[in-house]
Amino acid sequence: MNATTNQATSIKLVLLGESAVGKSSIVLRFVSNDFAENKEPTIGAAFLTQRVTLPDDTIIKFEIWDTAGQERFASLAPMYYRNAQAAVVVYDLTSPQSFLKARHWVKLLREQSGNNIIIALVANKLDLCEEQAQPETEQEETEPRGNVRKVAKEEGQKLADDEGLMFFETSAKTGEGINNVFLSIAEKIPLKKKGNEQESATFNGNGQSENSTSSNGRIDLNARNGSSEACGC
Amino acid sequence: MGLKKSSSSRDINQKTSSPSLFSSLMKSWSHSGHSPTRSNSKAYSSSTTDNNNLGYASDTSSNDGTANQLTRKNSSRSGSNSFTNVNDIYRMTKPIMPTNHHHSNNHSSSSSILLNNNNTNTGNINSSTIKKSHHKFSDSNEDWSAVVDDYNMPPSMDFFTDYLSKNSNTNMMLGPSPVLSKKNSGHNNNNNNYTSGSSSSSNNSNNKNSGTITYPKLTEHNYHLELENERELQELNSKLTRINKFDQILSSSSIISLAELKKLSWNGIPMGHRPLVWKLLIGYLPANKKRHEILIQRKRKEYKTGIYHIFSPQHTRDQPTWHQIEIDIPRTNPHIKLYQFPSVQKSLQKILYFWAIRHPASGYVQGINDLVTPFFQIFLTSYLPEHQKAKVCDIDPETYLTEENFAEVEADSFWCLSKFLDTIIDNYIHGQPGIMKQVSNLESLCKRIDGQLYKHLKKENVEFVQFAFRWMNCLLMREVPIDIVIRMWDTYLSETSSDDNDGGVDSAGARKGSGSSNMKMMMNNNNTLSDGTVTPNGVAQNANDLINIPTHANESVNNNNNTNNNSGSNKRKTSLSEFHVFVCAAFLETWSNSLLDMDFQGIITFLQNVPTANWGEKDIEILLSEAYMWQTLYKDATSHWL
Ligand SMILES: Nc1nc2c(ncn2[C@@H]2O[C@H](COP(=O)(O)OP(=O)(O)OP(=O)(O)O)[C@@H](O)[C@H]2O)c(=O)[nH]1
Ligand SMILES: [Mg+2]
Repeated sequence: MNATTNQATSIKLVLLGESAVGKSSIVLRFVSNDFAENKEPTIGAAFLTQRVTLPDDTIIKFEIWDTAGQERFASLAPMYYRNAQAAVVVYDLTSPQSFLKARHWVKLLREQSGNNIIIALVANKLDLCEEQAQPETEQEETEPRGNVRKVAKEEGQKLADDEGLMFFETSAKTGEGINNVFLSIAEKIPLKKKGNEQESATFNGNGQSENSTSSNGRIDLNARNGSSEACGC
Repeated sequence: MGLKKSSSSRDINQKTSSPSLFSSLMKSWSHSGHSPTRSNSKAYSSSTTDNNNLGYASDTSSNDGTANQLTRKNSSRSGSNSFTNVNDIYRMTKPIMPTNHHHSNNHSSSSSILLNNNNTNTGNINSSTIKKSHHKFSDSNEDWSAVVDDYNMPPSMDFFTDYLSKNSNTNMMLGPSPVLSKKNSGHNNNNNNYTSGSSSSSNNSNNKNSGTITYPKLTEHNYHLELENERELQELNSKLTRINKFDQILSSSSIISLAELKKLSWNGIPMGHRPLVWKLLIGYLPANKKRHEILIQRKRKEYKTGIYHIFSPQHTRDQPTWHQIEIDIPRTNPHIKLYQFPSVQKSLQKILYFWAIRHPASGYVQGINDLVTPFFQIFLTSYLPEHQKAKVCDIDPETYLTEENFAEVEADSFWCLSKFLDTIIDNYIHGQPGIMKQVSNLESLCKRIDGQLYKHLKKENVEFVQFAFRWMNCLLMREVPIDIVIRMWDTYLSETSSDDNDGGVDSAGARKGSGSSNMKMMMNNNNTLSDGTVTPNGVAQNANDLINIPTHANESVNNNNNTNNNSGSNKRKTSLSEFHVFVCAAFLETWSNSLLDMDFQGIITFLQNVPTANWGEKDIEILLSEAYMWQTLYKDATSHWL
């Protein structure tokens, strides 16, 4: 990397959630600003990193473990969340089953790590949601057009409120809300703040990333697709 | 390749620091039978010359299999591997080595005598020795421990260096020639001219291939110049020759010699033969050809009935399982066209679901969707004309398969997958103990093989499970391209094939049947596959296996017991999980030099995206050879593994 490496504060982050909810897709979007229609299931876990430069020139380096979702692999998970500072628990808003699983993960994390870990609850596949009629949303696929949402935003929000989680609705496919998840986490991590409270809006709205091409490992803050304003469906 | 090369040589240097280690290394390397695969040419082609002539002749002469087994026994006990080394190295470095044809009925005895004299290094090598040494590879497969013990003449370092440089596909060094010229003058009557045209007169001076090419006499300085063309030609010839050899084994008698087939298959199976040979090696089909038709019909019917049942209203669908498979089907080999066709996806869904509900102890586990694809793809090729077999990944099977054909391919894939997974079912049951064990075995192996790398990984806090879990769970299928996987499976199926199939007891399956996770209904399957024929060897083997069944809960224990040589030299079996660990060790070793320069992030990232996209068969063959070598060297040390 470059000289700024030294200043980087790293955040160890783990992704948890049922198989096929889009964990790997979320990471791929965040790390490479890319999406693959059919990604191979993750086996074991995959490690990825991404750097983010905040407006105050703080560099955050995310060290991400993207775990496998299938139940059979669950015994590996502790190895990956044990030392994590942040966890992203993902469910697929078209699958109530995956929401149940998300609850389970949240509970487990609280049991294991107490409040030492920052947890973000993420409802993914927002693009499948019909009422989601945002202009920049690309719906080129012949997705099912019916109302496929099976988990109301309120349900997710309630779980988040009850458990003290951040809550987001995202689409790895369109990119919507993805960066916001990670940036919000970066904000919340105490050590990154050098006694200086950052307004989320600072880097949300007009924050500058000092190097905004994702190809060289820097996230493009300007690429953020809207916020997690969700449809009410 | 650069990486590979440097890492190997570094490795070798480490080895040489310990004389005994070095000598055993040399020995195992050479006798591994896989050393030919390290040559530039393909596995087959490296042994081209003897294949074309001797190899073929002698192989065909032993239709009954008995003579060969005798030979094998003799040679493997002769402790003469040092010589074999030399020959192999020569053979590899000089692909156009004369191919004297020494075909005689007492081939086996004469060759073993020669081999016994090896240690004196009289230079009295003739082609039969060479041929023998080729055989010996696989022979020593079975008996390698004895070979290791007997080994007492380390070849000079030059051989090694030459060997390595050749392996790295760059400039090939010439092996010493005096012995070669001796060879040339060796007796070479009794040519078995093979009818298919790939035969050649076996004199070194006029080794004609397809009647058009005369190999020039080999001298050191023209060697490099000739090499390229010759290699291509040889590759072609050896391919043809190999095809013929497979033809011969498969058609020679009503009882196929599985031992022969196994030996031959280790170095790769020709495309056209793969469907049948895989079925034989894995024990889906018995050695007795007369029973093939009946058995395969029965198994296909059984599958059809089973499928009918699970899709009937009486069957309550296991929704989570069905759903998981449904999700994974489109995510299976997403970069290969074949797996995007709905017809294929439908078939795979059925196979996997059927397998899952028949194996409730494990159920469907991600990764198994990968493992079914080589079978499916290979069995599809049976229905394609020769010139299209290689394009199986691009053509929608719906364009050439009837519904009935689909059911056949599914059934065959299902049964072979079942057989395959039976041996590694511990990988997929709760807690995945098989994988955990393999990962820790890989770790201890790495510690022994490459302490430097091991220390570095530890220093960087890399846990083996972080990268090797997937290697085990998907048998490296995620790390190398599918064509390479298929070539790899030739060796895997050969290495782990149970010769007992010769005798008709499907012992592999039966053993597994005694394992914790197997269902009774699978036992039924095993029995129906058995074939009543018995060869002299088979009797003893079966007896052993039958004894082993009740006493050992898993096949690995069995495997260790099998190192006794009493019941025939083809007795040895390697378990899939065992051999695979060695392959993984070789795989890791391949990148050792690069890894040493990396930190945690670099290492993990690298090992998750290993640059194998451009790998060809020879790359995997190098790996397999190395794995075989490690296995040979460390077998004793690792016997407690399993
Ligand atoms: N429409 C839509 N599809 C998505 C989205 N995110 C992921 N997918 C699809 O969902 C499937 C699963 O995505 P993955 O990212 O592999 O899911 P995962 O959670 O990593 O799954 P495991 O590795 O098995 O645990 C893929 O086919 C993706 O293309 C999304 O936001 N919208
Ligand atoms: Mg994933």
